[in-house]
Amino acid sequence: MEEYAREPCPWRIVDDCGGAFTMGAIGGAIFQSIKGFRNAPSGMNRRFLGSLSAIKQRAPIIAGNFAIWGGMFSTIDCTLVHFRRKEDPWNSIISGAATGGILAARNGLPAMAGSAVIGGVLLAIIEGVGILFTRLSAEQFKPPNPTLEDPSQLGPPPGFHTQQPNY
Amino acid sequence: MSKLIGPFARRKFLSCSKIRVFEALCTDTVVTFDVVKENTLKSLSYCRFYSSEKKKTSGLTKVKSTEMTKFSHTKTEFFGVHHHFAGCSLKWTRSGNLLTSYQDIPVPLKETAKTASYLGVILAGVGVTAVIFYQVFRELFSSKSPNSVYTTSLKKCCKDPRVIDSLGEPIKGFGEETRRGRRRHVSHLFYERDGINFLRMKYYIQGSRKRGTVHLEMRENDKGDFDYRYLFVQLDDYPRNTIIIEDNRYDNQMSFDKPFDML
Repeated sequence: MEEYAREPCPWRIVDDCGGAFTMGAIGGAIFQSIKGFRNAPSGMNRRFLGSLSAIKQRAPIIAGNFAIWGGMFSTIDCTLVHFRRKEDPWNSIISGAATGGILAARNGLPAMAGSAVIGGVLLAIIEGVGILFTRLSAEQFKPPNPTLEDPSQLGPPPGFHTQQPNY
Repeated sequence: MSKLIGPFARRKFLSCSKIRVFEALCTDTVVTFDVVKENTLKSLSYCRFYSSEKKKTSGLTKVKSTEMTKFSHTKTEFFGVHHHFAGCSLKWTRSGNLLTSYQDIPVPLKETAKTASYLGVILAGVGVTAVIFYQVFRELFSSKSPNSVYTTSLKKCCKDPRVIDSLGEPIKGFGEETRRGRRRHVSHLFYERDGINFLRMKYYIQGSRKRGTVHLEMRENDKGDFDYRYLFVQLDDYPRNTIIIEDNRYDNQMSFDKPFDML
């Protein structure tokens, strides 16, 4: 079982952190380019310049925030995997809520609670989309008339050899 | 009276020469209207209305602006046209004064169509969210969902002394690994035979010494709950030993393909 030889968990944190940074950089660049374009003085040249400066100023900050979120989320997720000894949707929902709460810790308890709820709901929605898609694709590829054999590891049915009819 | 306003005035590319400030009393707010002529080249071809609204209760000032309203060059189109903004009817007269009034302006048909389409978008969003949440709750809290079958059967496996002996404590369970290192998805298949629902599932467990694969099948009983048809662990190392935890296939109720009925 080579493909399961390596544990994903501690390495996944770095992976997620980088992925989130990239996502934030790209998304932030698109968002800030539009925002800078709209907020700039009139004139095409100035608009593009404004858009560019907005990207330079804001996109790295957004990317960094995303990276912190991703890294924190993945860290908590891995910790939960370790302690619950189980990987299931609860892990990601709990770690989403915890990440939201921890990252808002400097804003006081009510803000923490609010962010935690938002984080949990967000991750629940993401999980739900995943579940929905697996369900839909399973329905699509469902064999119309499944003839599933029992696995051979279980051995023959009891009494199979003794009650064999003698022709 | 508050002076204007935002980035436009600060950057000084806009002539704010023609600003009239009017005050009108709303129900519990003071609204001041400022008019900024935004394009000096063609006189009065663009106009934007600003209102700064001072809440009497909180003392906060909120600045709102309309969409940029475009006019053609003929001034007649600009003067005398009603604009609807912040609950007021605005009218620029020829003398350069801004009239405000609070008459109810009949909402045009276009506006209602817009509102209806927004409502449709909102309803669609709420519907999609509801479906997603329903799926999540079904997955997490129903006893017949793949996730809960996985949870209960994993507990059963981890309690079995033979499994503990061969895999070594502590034992953890996980599903299929995705490209991104997530192992949350447990591969499963719902199927139906002779009008009875079955669920077949496969996931992986790992102890401190060895790994194994868990295969199981559930069968719906008369009450609509799931019972184990079989549940066994196959170790992943060479002899590929099988630890059968439950095998109810040949109980009277559990067998669906009665092999000896044909005799």
